[in-house]
Amino acid sequence: MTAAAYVDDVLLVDRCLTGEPAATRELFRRHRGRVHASLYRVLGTNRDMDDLLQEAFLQVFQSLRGWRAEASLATWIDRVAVRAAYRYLSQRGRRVQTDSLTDEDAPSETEGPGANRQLARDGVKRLYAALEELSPAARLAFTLHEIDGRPLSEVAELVGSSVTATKLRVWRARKKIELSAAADPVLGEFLDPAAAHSTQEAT
Amino acid sequence: MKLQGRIPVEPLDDDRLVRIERNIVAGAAERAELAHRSPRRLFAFSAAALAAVAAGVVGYALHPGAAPTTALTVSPPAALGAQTVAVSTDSQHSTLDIGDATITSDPATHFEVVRPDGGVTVELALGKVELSVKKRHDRPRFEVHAGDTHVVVVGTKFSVEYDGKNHVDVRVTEGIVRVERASDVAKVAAGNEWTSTGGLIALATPPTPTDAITIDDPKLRDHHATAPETQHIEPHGTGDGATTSVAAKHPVDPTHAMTYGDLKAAIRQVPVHVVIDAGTTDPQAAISFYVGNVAHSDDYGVKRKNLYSMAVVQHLKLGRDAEADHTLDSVVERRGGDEYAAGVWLRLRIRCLAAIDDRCRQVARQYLDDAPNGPGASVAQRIILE
Repeated sequence: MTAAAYVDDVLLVDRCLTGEPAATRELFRRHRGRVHASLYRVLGTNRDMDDLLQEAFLQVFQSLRGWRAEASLATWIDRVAVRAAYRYLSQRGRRVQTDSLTDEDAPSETEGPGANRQLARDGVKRLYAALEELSPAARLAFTLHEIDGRPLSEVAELVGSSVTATKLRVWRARKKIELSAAADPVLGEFLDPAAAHSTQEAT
Repeated sequence: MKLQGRIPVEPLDDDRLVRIERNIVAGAAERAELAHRSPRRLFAFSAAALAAVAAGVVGYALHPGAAPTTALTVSPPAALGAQTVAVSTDSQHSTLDIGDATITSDPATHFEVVRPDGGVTVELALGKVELSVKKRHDRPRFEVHAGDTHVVVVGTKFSVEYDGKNHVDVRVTEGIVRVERASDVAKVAAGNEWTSTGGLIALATPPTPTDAITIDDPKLRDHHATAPETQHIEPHGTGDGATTSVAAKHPVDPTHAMTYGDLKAAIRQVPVHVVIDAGTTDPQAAISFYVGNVAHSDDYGVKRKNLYSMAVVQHLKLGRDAEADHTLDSVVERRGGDEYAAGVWLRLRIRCLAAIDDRCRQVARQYLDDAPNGPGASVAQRIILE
């Protein structure tokens, strides 16, 4: 992070702390894309995203005075958003309703690019169905590392755990997903397309 | 298992984003307001009636010879709405503290204070009020209405006297007010008086000069601008207002117009407040030093000192004026401390050396409001008159 970017963050936060709506808007616009993408990868759907994104940023603004400028503002906001996601996953009385990723009206294809896209959509849907079986902490660790692509050290920082504990959570989650995949060929092919192709060719 | 990049993120549509943003902005403001709204501040206005009653009691006690009748009446908020207080005095003074201003009234004065949309309007029906108003900054306007004359306050001490018919007298002891009457607008600075019949005149006994540093530049003194407001401040064209300086604290010869070059020279001669010693002559290294200090301090005062120092380096050493101006956002965001006035001056220096335009004048007004006795006060006044 450059000094200029850092100072820019400091200045923006100071403006936000004075309650300036334009600054609030600017901070939201700067970070909403990244936060939304991460939350989407955790939840797999936009169904409750309005509430969650809103709550995450309200928490950000409520806690902004606590940003000590030690971490980058983006990392700090991500941490707040992850906590909001954790609360959401822990407190909901129902499972996350993954949006239907299949287009009921679309003609079904068994071969070609359309069939591949359909398979991918089904695979994603089944992956998130499998993620429903994980604890909130394990789901966060797994999705942030495996899907969002964050290093384990960063995930550990975001979820407030040690790297070792985070690594263990990711490993256990992966084992559970692989177990689900063993019983679900669609999920299995989505997770490991190469293995699925070689199995088909062998038969 | 390779999942990174394989889960497409479905974007939120614009309507949803706009709705979320609106809720966040509203929610953030609400939470910020709750955090800043102290019970005392809320209480201040609601208790204004009580304060006025207390003042009346004090006034009565101090004036035992006064008529034993109820000389002061206060209409409590409940009678006029939660945001309205009416005060009426017969034979004594009253003092009304509404939190962001103190209003002292003479005997035989009738006025009402209302708060429209966060602003304050004092409706003076008759008599004289003296006001001490805290800086308004970006808050809604504070106005005194006396008949068809409106006095707009930025943050100052002044009085308004109204005979209930057509004579209004505005006297300013600190800061500047703007008087609006029909199509006329006059700025009345400290040490001046404006009357509805006589326009702007200097007070016979202007405030004692302060320790403001006057620039020792003969050109400046000789070339002080002729006040363009003179046409406004003398609505009836009665006198020698054309030679009356609005800046009575810094009397100058108004016979010559000041050139921009003179003004720039004057701006440059005002000393820039001292910066933190970064222990280096390399501007970039100095900026890194200041950034590091900002990062490692929880103290806003320390952060501000360093940000101010950084802005000075950006402006004076690197010539990166836009960046310096941007850095100053944080320095001047909160009032108080040496760096605040210094930051406002630095911003004035940056903007006004570029051009004497609205942005320059805006910060000049801010400087005069916040540092009326600061080292650049006389220059700021001249900028406003340009």
